[in-house]
Amino acid sequence: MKIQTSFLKYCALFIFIFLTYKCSDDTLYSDLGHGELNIDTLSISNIDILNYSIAPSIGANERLYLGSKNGIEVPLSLIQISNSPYWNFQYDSTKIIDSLRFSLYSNDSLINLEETPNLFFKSDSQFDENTSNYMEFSEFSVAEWFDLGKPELRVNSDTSNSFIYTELVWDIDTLLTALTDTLDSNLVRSFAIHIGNSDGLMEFYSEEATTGDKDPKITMFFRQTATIEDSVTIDTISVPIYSAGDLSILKPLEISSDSNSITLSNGMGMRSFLNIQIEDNFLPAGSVIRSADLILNYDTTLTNSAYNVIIDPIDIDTLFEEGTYTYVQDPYEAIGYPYRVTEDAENGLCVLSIKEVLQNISLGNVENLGFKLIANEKNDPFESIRFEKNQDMRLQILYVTN
Amino acid sequence: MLQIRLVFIACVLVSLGISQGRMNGIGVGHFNKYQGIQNAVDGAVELAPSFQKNVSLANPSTWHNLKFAYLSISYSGNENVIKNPSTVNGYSSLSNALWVVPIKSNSSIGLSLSPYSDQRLTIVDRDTSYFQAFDSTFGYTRSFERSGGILSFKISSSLKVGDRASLGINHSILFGSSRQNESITFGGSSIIQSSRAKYNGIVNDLFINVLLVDDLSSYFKYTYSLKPLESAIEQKYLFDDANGNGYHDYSTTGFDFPFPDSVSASPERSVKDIHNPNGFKLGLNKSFGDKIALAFEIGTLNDIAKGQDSFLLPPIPNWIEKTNSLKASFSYFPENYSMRIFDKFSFKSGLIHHIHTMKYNEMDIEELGFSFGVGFKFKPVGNQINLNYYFGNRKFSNIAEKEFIQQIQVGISLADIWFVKRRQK
Repeated sequence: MKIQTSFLKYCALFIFIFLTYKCSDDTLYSDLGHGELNIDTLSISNIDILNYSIAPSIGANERLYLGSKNGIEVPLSLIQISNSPYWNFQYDSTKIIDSLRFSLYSNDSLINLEETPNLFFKSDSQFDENTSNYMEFSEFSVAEWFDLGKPELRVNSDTSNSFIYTELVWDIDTLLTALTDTLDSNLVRSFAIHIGNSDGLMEFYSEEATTGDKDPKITMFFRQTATIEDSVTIDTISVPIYSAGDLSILKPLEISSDSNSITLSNGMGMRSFLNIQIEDNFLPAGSVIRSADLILNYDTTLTNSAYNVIIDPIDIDTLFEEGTYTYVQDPYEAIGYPYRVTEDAENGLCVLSIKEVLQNISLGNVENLGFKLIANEKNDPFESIRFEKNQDMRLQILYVTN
Repeated sequence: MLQIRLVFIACVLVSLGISQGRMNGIGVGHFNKYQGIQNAVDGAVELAPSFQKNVSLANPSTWHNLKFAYLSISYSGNENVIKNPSTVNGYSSLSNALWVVPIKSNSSIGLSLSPYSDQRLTIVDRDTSYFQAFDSTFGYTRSFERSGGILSFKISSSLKVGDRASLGINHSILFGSSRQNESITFGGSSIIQSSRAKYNGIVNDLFINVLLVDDLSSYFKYTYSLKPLESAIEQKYLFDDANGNGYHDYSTTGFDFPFPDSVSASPERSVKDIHNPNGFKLGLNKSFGDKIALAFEIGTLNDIAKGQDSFLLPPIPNWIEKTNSLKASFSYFPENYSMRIFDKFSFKSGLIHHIHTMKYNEMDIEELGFSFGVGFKFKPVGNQINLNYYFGNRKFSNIAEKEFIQQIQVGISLADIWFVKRRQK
């Protein structure tokens, strides 16, 4: 019986070692030309374009502008200060607000005091950073605003005497009561910078530019009284109250429609509608797109640096009117994520990958209502880009079918 | 008991190894009956007795000759080697599990589970192809990855018809599923067509066993499909496997394209008659005393299915249409009542020759193999442990290199008396 048990044990061990050692997985090679998957291409150059313009809105831009450039006028920039809890210090018996300073920052070291804008305040002027435009402020008059005059200029340099930034500081102590008025249910703390006639353009950092250090802001200086173990201490402290939104108001230009090119400009509010002529079954059923590139060429003499372009498929076009090319609001509502694509146009070429939305159009998940082509708000609003409508404007699709 | 558990766990773990074999890519896969020997207990032949004198566990018409009920399990390790390009692939799996109960030496009933076909395979294009698209030239390769296979659950029975003849039947229920990925790889990722197939079918074997003269028996087997194999196929939407894991999914390393929730699989379609075996096998067994026997088998099996072209495209686009088999074996049985250790051993040796005729391309596959096995009988009831080694060459008429096959099988057969009332102690 001992022999049999021992024999079984050795057999099991041998088999285990053999099987474990021999398990391996090498790929086999063969001619697989019979496979059912095939790569194919489709090129579409039948693309209709329709340029239109809207009142310019550059709320997301990283600069605030004043003045004019390339024929585009910026008469006004608006800044809204946030509803900070620091405003309640006015009613705190342990704190005494000494002064308030409004600051703007610029990367221009050569600003003259004569060229600087005046600061204006109005407690009930409202604007929306994302949607407000010139049409809401076409009747703007400084007479209705409280003029805070010109700023004090502070040029900041580092230890090696290299320029860092210029700070424009306004004394706004006179607004203390207005800014801390708890009885005003409509208090929005709106400021405006305005300049009369100017040939040049001034640029300031907007709240989108930095994480706070160069944002438009009000600095509150106050004294704080504290009692610790029968001793009274008084500290002088300053706190920043940042901008909650800011916006440059650009004056729209009269633009004639041109179907031979696509012109995009934030400063002019120029956008374009593209209708790519694709049929319902433009791809064989079951196909998957590897790449779908909309290729646009532009004149580099008009656009020097990289220009960021956005393409977004149209969701609804209820505001569109036949024969109308100028709108207050964009007549085309776009789908956005995940079909919105942004790409830099460089060296005379802009290649926009629209495979995501085209795949879903081929699947019947999305209806092809055309595309909206716009300039990214982060572009210089005084620059524009013009894509020529010619043979080179095309959609190239590379796909695999089964 | 602990050792048995350890061996069982080890076998299960080893079974997870992925396999390769060129025949796995043909049709619905490599049929288990053509992969070496079917179980360690019977050796090379199927019909002629090799388990015990007058008993073959693969031939139900001989089961009523058993004196006890048997539980027999065989486990195999296989290896396929191609020299150029050098590929070595090995895998292991359960090759047969059988439970058979003789009933009063006149009839028997048995249940068994065994693999029917194996589809595990990864095969890649030998050469890179090129495609001109717009201003670019893309190099691309195709590949297939297949897993899964078909299992066979058999319900078998035998009936003794007089002193010289007996009948047997196998009722094999085929079931299983497979997953196939066809890929085309270019530009840094693969575009994959993923498909799933579920199988079902019924194949019957009828056995006749006739004692011609005292030491010479003849065996006949007829195979036919009661329900030809059919498949329910679900084809997923093509996807760009951006994260490279082979599945259409979301992952932190990248989203596959298109998003999985934006597409749906094609409606499941049913393909009938993709495998319809029909054929016979004839065997002769000559005994020399109680301990030695020589056996010879010849058979042909045709696949008369008509629906194969509607099935998924196999990695190797061909189907076995006809198989001619020739088998011969020599068996040495253990002494029933001897106490000598040597008399408890049995030996088996056999020769197997298959010629598979393919449906397309006039391609043939020829296999010649040799097997050698040893068994050890223990306990008075006739428990056996068997070890069998098979090696052979498989030659594809359209490929210069031969495939070298090795298989080792281990089997254990445990006997007991079932369904007998025990006396109360």
